[in-house]
Amino acid sequence: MGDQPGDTAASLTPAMFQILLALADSERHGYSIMREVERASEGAFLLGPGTLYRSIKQMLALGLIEESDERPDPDMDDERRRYYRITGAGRRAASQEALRLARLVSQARDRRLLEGWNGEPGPLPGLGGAQ
Amino acid sequence: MSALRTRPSWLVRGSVALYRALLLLYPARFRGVYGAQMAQVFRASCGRASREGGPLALVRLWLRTLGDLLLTALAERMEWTMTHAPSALYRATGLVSLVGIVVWIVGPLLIGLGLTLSGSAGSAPPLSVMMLLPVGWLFFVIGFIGLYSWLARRCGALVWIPGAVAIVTLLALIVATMFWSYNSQVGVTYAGNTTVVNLGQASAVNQLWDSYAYEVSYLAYPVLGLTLIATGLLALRVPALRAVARTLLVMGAITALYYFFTDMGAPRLLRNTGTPGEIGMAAGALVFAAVWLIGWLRLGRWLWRAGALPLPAAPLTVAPSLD
Repeated sequence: MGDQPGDTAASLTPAMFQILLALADSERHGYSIMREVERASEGAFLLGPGTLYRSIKQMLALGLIEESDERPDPDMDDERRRYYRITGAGRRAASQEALRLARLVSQARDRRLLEGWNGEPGPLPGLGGAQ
Repeated sequence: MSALRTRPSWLVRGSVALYRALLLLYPARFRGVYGAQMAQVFRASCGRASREGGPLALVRLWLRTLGDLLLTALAERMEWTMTHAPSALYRATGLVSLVGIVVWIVGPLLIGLGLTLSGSAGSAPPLSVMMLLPVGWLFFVIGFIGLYSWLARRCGALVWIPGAVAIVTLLALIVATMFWSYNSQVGVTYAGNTTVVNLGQASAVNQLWDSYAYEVSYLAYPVLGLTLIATGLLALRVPALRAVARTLLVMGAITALYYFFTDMGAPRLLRNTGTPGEIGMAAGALVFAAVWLIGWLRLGRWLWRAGALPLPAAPLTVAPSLD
């Protein structure tokens, strides 16, 4: 399954994609993943423990992530914590999904739906925050 | 100041304890692997919420977490049921379908025999016999759900197409039989005296509905028969399921041709010939009942055995033998 990133990407949920993004640059434990997703989405995407670990379970089964034995600093860390890292298949699936989203954004731009957007997060100028 | 510090701490400890208790909503296997980590994450979230926003932030966290917990626990339960629980459920449905045989066929026969031997058989069957028919069909519905769930794991989800039609047909048959029974004459025995009561007149059931019910029951048998044949053909593709497929094909054929056995076929030629016609129709009904009796005994036993087998990781590998 992991050999077919296109198929796996199709089954990625938004939570899975966010988790893959959080793990793209470093290994993380559950709470760290949750915080990173919250930080990266500027609080727009909040993962609950249930969604987080249900997604982790499914992603482990799909081979998108794996458990890591290494700890950044064993002395400073709670040994009960489990760390996860992205696999090659996970990276490919995340790339596929990012590409799919980029194409959608490109289409939106072609249809002049992103006029005035400077690439920064937040509401589009003129649309306000009440949308 | 110290009171301000201890209050959130107590709230956090209480929240974590409550969250740990709520983790029981998840299936044991999921809880065993991820429960401690989830509680750890929740504890960290509680600590942060309490530090940064006080009790109100904790309430907001709880509202968000409760929704998350309930939805994911439900999803995990459903997933677990689809992948693990069927073992026990198949056994139960196998048993229920065997009980259905007793209720639907053996029950009325035994009661009828008892009434005949005791000399109290009247011109109308007792109410208990009439009600055994829809109850028996209800047991079959449960049996069918178990049967198709198991077959779907072996033959693929496609089998649910005839399965859904069969189950809807059975439900329609139950309703129709109840209407039909309701409009029938039954013998009600009270204080040793049997009175023949026309339930249709006693009730406010419209004659139009009665005719609909009659037509549904006429349609149901051929439809049910064809669904069983379709199921049998799908099961036939799997070598380990050939015995089951043969049983389904025979049951399907006899059900599709039900009225040729009882009302419209060869016995009809004898219908107006008095006693021979009655005997012909009774023989047809007996053949039908015997095929269903044997068929469901085999399928029920198969489901019962299927439940005892560990569910294979991949489909089409293990199936209980009927031989």
